[in-house]
Amino acid sequence: MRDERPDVHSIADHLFRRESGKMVSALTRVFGTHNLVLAEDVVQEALVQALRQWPFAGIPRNPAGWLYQVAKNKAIDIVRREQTLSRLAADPSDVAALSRTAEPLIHELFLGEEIKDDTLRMMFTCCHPALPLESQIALTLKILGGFSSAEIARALLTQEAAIQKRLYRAKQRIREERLEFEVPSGAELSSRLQAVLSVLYLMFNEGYSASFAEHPIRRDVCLEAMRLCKLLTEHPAGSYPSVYALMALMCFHAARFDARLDDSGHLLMLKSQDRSRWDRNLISEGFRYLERSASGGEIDEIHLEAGIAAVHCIAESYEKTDWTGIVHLYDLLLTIKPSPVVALNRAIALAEGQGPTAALAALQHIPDRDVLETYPFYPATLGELHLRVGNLDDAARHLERAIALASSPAEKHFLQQKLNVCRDRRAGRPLEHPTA
Amino acid sequence: MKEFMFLLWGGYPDPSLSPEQMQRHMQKWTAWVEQLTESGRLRSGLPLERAGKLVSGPNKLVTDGPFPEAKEVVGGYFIISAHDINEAVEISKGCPIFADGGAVEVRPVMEMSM
Repeated sequence: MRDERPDVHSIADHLFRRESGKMVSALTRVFGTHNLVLAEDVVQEALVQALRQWPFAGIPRNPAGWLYQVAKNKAIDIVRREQTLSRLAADPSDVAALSRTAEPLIHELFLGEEIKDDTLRMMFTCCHPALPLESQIALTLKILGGFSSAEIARALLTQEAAIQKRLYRAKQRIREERLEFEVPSGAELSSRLQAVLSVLYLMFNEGYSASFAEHPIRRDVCLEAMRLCKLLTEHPAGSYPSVYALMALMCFHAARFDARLDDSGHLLMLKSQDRSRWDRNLISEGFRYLERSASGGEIDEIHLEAGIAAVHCIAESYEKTDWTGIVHLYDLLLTIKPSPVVALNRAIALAEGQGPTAALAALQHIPDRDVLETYPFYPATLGELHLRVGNLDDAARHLERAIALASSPAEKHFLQQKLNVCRDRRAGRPLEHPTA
Repeated sequence: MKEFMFLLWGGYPDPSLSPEQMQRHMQKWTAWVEQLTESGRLRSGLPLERAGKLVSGPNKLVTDGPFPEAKEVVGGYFIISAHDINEAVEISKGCPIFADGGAVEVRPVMEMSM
């Protein structure tokens, strides 16, 4: 072991998780997508070996490099054993070719640029349209993100068994369909890229939508979505405006991570956030990406959502926000993505810029607004607006409905406070300033 | 100062741990060993492969080892220095193996006189 004190090396946070995704991707290129599970096993074994040896030998100077070497050695063992070779081949005619090509390929695994390419190939495989959308998200998190089924279940607020089943079926599908391990090109690239962006967008939203205090893993999911999107922007296949726009959107939202929770771990509304805690560097980065997304003639909903987020991020305060600009962006968004929820968000912005009466009128004109009946923000917004205008009875009615629909104790608490204000005013009691 | 061997029994990490969990697990171990090194207590230590051979009896029968009936296997050892066995035992309590259901056997190394 060691006689004198060796250099003590440290290891970066989440290194195992990050590197496992890269390694599985690279190994899949050699073994083929039909051997995805084998690639995962090899990587898992490499991590276990690190776990067994590093306490005695110390953390190596280059932990990732060590893992790569061990994974390579295991992969070489596998292809050298004739029995495994015939099992590995997609069909018998592949065996001879595989035995010739596999070893040299393995020796060159994990080289810098190639890893990025392999990671991208894996992204397109995980986000393949042949797989159900929920499976695409779970698969991306598992294989590229290195999250376990339990961690994914916690992040997506579902059961571990459900995730395991989804992953199992997805891998089976990949095997059966003999999905190619390639970055698509030509005409196919654009639509396949949209699929990847949808997955990343959904992944980010999942991570973003809940309190991190309860589920810190969800912030990790956001960061993973950003990491993968960034990889896309650095590759020729990903230099499309919509990729930059998504990156911008995620930067703007992520910039507010630290300001989103109050001391008790509850979500704070935009109105109440301490903007000095917003990450200015991330906001700047967001604007850089937003600029790059402004090429080509097309604007899609991601561009507009990024634009709206941008307007919020440069505002000194909630009150000083360019609400007219935001309403205008919502107008554009509605032409592309006419949805009651978007119309609702537009009305909220309208209330801030033009007052509650204008907003209430706008809400009356939302087509298909019955869809919103079970969406808690709808009665909550109506209640808030009526309260501002002074229609206390209407306000109370809507707030009560909102409380019934609210999905978290924090939301209920927030709405109850508003309802109390309402009742106090009706009773002519002096009102306490609502805290949020 | 005397020397003691820590025999590490069982406590295998769950192979289905997520990469993140494995890293944390690994860091607990490396942190403990670094502590032993820094305090000057660590003399040596090595991990052992799980499987091996057992050679026994006057006929030197060779079987696959360790004992098939044994649930636990020694996964590695450390040799540390301490003033007495009580101190050695206290030092062993810092080992992360216990959280995984493992045990540390603490044995004084015989002091050999000339």
